[in-house]
Amino acid sequence: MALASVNQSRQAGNPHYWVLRHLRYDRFSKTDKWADTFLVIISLKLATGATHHDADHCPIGVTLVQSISATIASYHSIHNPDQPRMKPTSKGTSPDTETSTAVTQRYNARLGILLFVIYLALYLGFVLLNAFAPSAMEWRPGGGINLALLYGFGLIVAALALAFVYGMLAKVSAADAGQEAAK
Amino acid sequence: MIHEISPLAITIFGVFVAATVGLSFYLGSRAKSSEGYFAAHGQIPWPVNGIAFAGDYLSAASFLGICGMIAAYGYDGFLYSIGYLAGWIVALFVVAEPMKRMGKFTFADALDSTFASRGIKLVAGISTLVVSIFYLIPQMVGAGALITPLLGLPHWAGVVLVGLVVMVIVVTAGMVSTTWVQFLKGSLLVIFSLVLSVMVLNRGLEVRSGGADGHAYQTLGPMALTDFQSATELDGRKILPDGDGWNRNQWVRLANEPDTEPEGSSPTAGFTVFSVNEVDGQVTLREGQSLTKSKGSVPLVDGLPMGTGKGQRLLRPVGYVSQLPGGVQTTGPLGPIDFFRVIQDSEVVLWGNQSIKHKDGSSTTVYFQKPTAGSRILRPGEHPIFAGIRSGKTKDRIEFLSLMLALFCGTASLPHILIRYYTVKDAAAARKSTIVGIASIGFFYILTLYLGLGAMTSGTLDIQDTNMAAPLLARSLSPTLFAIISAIAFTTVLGTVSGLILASSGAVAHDLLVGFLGMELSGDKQVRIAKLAAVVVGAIAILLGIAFQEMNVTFLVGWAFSIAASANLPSLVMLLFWKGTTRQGIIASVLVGMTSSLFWVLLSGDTYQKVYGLPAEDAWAPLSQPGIVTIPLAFATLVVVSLLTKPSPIALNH
Repeated sequence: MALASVNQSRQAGNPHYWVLRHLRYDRFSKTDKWADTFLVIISLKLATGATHHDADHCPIGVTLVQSISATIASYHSIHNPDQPRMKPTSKGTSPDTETSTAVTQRYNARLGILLFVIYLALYLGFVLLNAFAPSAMEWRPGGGINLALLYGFGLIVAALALAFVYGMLAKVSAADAGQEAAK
Repeated sequence: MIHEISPLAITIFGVFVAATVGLSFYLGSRAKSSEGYFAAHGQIPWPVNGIAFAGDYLSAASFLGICGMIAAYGYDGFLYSIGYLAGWIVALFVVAEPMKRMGKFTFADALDSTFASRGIKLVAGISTLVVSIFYLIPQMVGAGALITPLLGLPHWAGVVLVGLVVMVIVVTAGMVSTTWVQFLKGSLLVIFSLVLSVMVLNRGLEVRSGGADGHAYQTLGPMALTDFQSATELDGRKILPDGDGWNRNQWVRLANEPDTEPEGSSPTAGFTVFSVNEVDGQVTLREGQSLTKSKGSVPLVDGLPMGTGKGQRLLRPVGYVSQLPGGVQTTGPLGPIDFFRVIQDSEVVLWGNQSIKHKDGSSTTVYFQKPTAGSRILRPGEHPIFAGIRSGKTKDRIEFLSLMLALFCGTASLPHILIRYYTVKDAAAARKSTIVGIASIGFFYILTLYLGLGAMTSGTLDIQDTNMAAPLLARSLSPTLFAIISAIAFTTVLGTVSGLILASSGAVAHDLLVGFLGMELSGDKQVRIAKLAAVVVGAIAILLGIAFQEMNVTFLVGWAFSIAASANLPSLVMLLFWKGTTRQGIIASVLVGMTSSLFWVLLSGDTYQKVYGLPAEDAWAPLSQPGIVTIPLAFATLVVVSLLTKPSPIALNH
């Protein structure tokens, strides 16, 4: 996931690039547009956050940015209109479908790893805070609820949110789509 | 505590068992082939499979154990909720789709998909069996613990009953019936937990001076320390002399009035025990409870025989708020966030206990009040397992990290969870059903905090057995709800145990006999052998459930998670992400992970103390939680062995 080219990183760092580019893709389905919006939001949030303070110092920040760009790149490699052979077809197991299935699987796996790393960072933060600064959990940042409850509930809600994001962004592989069409 | 038997609970439970067994027989005709028996033909709709994940995963330890731990200690139980749910992230993002693509019936199938090695089938089959059996013990113990208060039957009867019902479910229709039972149980559990939580919020909080039985606990003092030390009488009652383990620095016993003396020649009229709390020369006495156990006689509660008759005593229910913010007596209905705000600024009476040994070999457990600020209840570190994080000792911190690591890695390596990926048609359905699973499980874990804190303040807690917190909370709200929740708690055991037994029977028939020994069995024969294996594993589970009666349920589940995470996860993850993984690497990793974590828990301080009854200091293992050492060890083993056994480039060319 750290193999993103410099070019891809630059594109990922500029969410407007993707937004502009996809406004023209009117033949994309609604979910695809949703998917793009999510990717842009994730990349915007994390990439800008990372450039501000930790991209240069924190290795996790760097890895995150790289893996975001890699994911976006692989997401778009499925959808790139210049490469129509990558589009899922329902022709059973033609070589095209196999390539497409492999690409889809790789994309899903990368997306999974990206979301996994985000959650891992949140969970690790919680566990380390508990282990090394337990008194911080008594802090009440606002609303009269302490950090222990906020962070704990936050982790459960984050798990649900990331699971839904994954569900919306993950692609159905061509082999599966073919099977379904055959039925 | 002795619980009344509820005929309604028995009826609802009976209906549930009859319905599940009936369903199993009805579905039995559909599961003749091995595809049907092991994987329900891969035709379970994904939403059903998702809820079945919840039914499979939310075991007695989740429902009873976590609620009980929150009720007794507060936030610490919720740490388990967080860790158990976090594990699903690994399952969804890393394991779900490849698992579905690579395997057919069992975990070993997936691990062995690229190598077709008998060795991998052997070790993966064994590790499935080991993890499942370790996970089965607490479930069976939980079944026994539930049956006593609910149906009035002895512990072994509960264990045997669960064992038999589960055998019927698994033998009739394998994965098909198991899935539907788990679906039913998962939906009931989440729905009724929600109903209970709403009722808890609606009831609000109320200041009390005792439990739901109406007894108000007495507080004496404050008085000067010197007055207390020289007193022979307090509150008009005689102070019983010290000695035989009793010590006035800690406990003081006030004799009962003579007119409460039981008939016959009982040597004592009983007493009330008070805990001695000294602050700046001022002593406050708080009423406690005591239970004396000696071999071959009825236990004594505060010096009187345990029972409901005249001159007999029961341990009283506990769990109440002693102070609400702003000095109010009741809050009225509370919103879900206000509930925490109010508890945070209240004071709740929790109970601790301490054991006293007597000369005649008997021992007394003294239960004492611990008025605790709400701000402490809603932060981690009150339970002995987690108290270490406040001690500042490095060892305690590592212990905590190790537990949280095992919970994180354990879920995605539990064989009975992994086989559920084969019951849906494709990788996309596996993914979607995991998302449904995460949603329902996450929602349930949020509710555990309301259920636990509701039980903590309901006045109905059983001081001896925190596992009963959730059903007892239901009883404080409505007798019907108690019956329903008890029956659901029992079926919770059924759902999880069926999954475990199915996973074990698959390991024996599919992995060991067909895969490793190379027996050529037709699908039909394989199913027959798997059913036989299910009966054998079920019988073993029954025996273990009876033998381990006294063990703490949550503690045993922790073992299973550590072993699963050490044995199964490293090889599964490396197989997916490292091309250099070899057959030998996988075999070595599973073996090293499994044996190291197994021996570690058997030689740990916790096990020494709670299982062998030896001092914890004598234990060989430096930590009680092995995960932080054995999981990396299994990863390292895989890498080293794989590098050593890497096929040479020359061999590859030919």
